[in-house]
Amino acid sequence: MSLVESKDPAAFEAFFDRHGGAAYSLAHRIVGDRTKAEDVAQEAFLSIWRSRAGYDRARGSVRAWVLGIARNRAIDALRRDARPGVPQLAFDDDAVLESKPAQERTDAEAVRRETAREVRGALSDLPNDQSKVIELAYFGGFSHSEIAELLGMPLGTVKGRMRLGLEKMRGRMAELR
Amino acid sequence: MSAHDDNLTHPSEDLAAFALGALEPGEEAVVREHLDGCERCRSELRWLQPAVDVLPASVPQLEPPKRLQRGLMRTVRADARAGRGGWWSRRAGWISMRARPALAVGAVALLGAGIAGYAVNEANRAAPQDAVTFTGADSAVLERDGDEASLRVAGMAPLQEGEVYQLWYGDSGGVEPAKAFTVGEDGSAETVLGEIPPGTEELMVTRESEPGLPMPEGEVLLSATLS
Repeated sequence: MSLVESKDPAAFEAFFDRHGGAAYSLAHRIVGDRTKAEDVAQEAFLSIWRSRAGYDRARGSVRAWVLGIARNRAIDALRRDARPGVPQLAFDDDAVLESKPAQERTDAEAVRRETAREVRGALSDLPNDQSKVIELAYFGGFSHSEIAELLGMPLGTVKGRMRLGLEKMRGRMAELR
Repeated sequence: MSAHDDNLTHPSEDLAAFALGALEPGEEAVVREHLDGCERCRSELRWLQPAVDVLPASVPQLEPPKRLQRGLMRTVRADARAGRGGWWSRRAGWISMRARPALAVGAVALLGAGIAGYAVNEANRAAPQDAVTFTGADSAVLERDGDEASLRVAGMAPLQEGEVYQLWYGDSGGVEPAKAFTVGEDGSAETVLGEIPPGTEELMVTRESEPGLPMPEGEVLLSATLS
């Protein structure tokens, strides 16, 4: 990271190799389109390259920081598009994976897929009303007020479900370690 | 007594929404300010945050297209060679001359569908946001918001498989590939350009057989002068 901060292109390319796939994947999950996801990932990494202020070690891992930037850019892109009245959260993960060329299924990818399965498992183990508000917020970019309106429930209920859901996720993560 | 004494309200119910980025901007600012002075809430947030940080791992991990890395690194290396100023001027000259007669017009509408050009007055560049449509056509617009620019087009001809529309930045020294994009069935597209390099004099759009070409091979369909 220090080489990246020192504006070393080779270090930045290694940095992209390390985090570019995750950022692109997250962007694709949010915007639902490969071309737009490409735009989002490019914007995110250029902003990292061009910004001197940025990563704060006290606030988490480099990966979480990069993905936070990619997520924010993706949500911005989503908001630039006309937002549908009803959010589309259904996402056929397996169909996306199966559509990939076989040569892309490397060992490293197998590990990532396993991690993805575990986290998806943790999410799917949540009661639907909790996982739904978390997904609407994180992947849909909706505020808690918007979610309350969309789902026709009190704001306090939405906040409570977010909190309960994250607490359960946290507990599940501890079990997996 | 601290401003965040235990007798005062802690925004515990808002911390999950804060971690998920789901608070309204005003609410987020309030929570952020509270966190600055409240170790108890910071500690709660530190505990919750990993549950949010792990969410991206739940999505299918895709291989980014090679052109993404190529395009990104082209910009990065150019930035590194010359700092952020003037890198574009080191490009091999080309356009010049092939397209300049058309460029001089400022904007050219082709494809019979009202493709327009763009012009951004230098004086407007510092404005937080501007959107300038050239020559009265409104089917193509360059919008700028601070350092960010985006391009919206409509009425473009459909592309064949593999073809792209390619945007180029030009100046007196040559041309640099900027962004490849495709259009929807209705011929429209919106693409984010990021920051347009200072000193760019012209924008051009060509139709190319593939993305990633170092120099235009197709005819200049759309152009604008940045004055």
